[in-house]
Amino acid sequence: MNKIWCFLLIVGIFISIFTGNINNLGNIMIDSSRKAFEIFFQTGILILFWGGLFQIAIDSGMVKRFSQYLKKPLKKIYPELDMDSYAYELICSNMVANILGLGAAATPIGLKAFKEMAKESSNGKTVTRSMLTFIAINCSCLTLVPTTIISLRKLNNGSSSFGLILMMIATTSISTFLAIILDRIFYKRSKL
Amino acid sequence: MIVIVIYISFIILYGVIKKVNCYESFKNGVSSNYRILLDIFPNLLALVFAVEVFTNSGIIELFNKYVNLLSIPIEIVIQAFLKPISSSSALVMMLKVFNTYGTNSNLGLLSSIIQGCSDTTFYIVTLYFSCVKIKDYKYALKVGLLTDILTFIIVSLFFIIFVF
Repeated sequence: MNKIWCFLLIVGIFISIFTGNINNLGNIMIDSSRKAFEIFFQTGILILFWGGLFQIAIDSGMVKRFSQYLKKPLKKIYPELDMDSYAYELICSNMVANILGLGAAATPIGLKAFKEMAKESSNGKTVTRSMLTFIAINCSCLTLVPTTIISLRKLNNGSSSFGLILMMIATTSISTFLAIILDRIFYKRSKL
Repeated sequence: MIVIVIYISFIILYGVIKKVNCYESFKNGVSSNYRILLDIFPNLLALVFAVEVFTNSGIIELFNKYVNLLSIPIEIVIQAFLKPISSSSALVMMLKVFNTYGTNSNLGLLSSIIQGCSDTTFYIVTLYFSCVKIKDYKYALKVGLLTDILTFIIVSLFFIIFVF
């Protein structure tokens, strides 16, 4: 992260000298803290608001209820896991939380699931196949209700048509699908 | 926005049916997110500073002059590049696209889709592995990053072919 940060700053200043934007640069630098606060405010209230709503979804057992439906299809993705284990239940809940767009709530559940999987693997020191699959799926982040993006678009005077939401669902499905395929390919290759 | 209204009402109604104290739950959820927010701000301030300096340096004009083949502006390329590393900096780029090209423009749409289609790969991999104290990531990072790259390419191609 440090490298990227310094790179952006140094290249930015360097190019400004060439293009003659250097006079504006002072204003931009000082103004950036105000801008940062605006963005922080915009996203911050969203995180607080959705955090509150999702707590209702968790407390009411909605997440748990939906995770029941996922148990069977997920078995194909995690062939090595025991279907009745606690880890498996947590995996389903994590996936439901992601699907419902509860990103912030999904992470703590995911961490618990990951710890549980490490405990259940024979020695707990090396990573297992299902743990890697879990990470791949979490990185691709399947979402059916992109709550944050919709809210941010609204705050910036934009609209979110049904078509856009469908497109977003399509892309997250593609990326999750790709993640599963790639995970399979790498698993087969690492075995040889 | 009707989707969001239905979604929110569904969550609340479900809570009411299950006889959950919705008000308390909501309050607890909000307060447990304060800590996350405080962790975000320093990061955000640093990033906005760097991104502002970079994007206002005239590099966008330079880039547009020479690389006009793909009709994808550099902001979106940078956003896609930052996405796996830091979600908040990609978010800064997305808001910048909204401001310059308009939220409802095609580029605004593309930017939203890129923001929504994947999670912060580096962050997730390091976070999850550090919590179980395993140092050997095996192919976790490779799979995550390849997925990000392929998804970006697919989405952009789709956009170039059908929208522009």
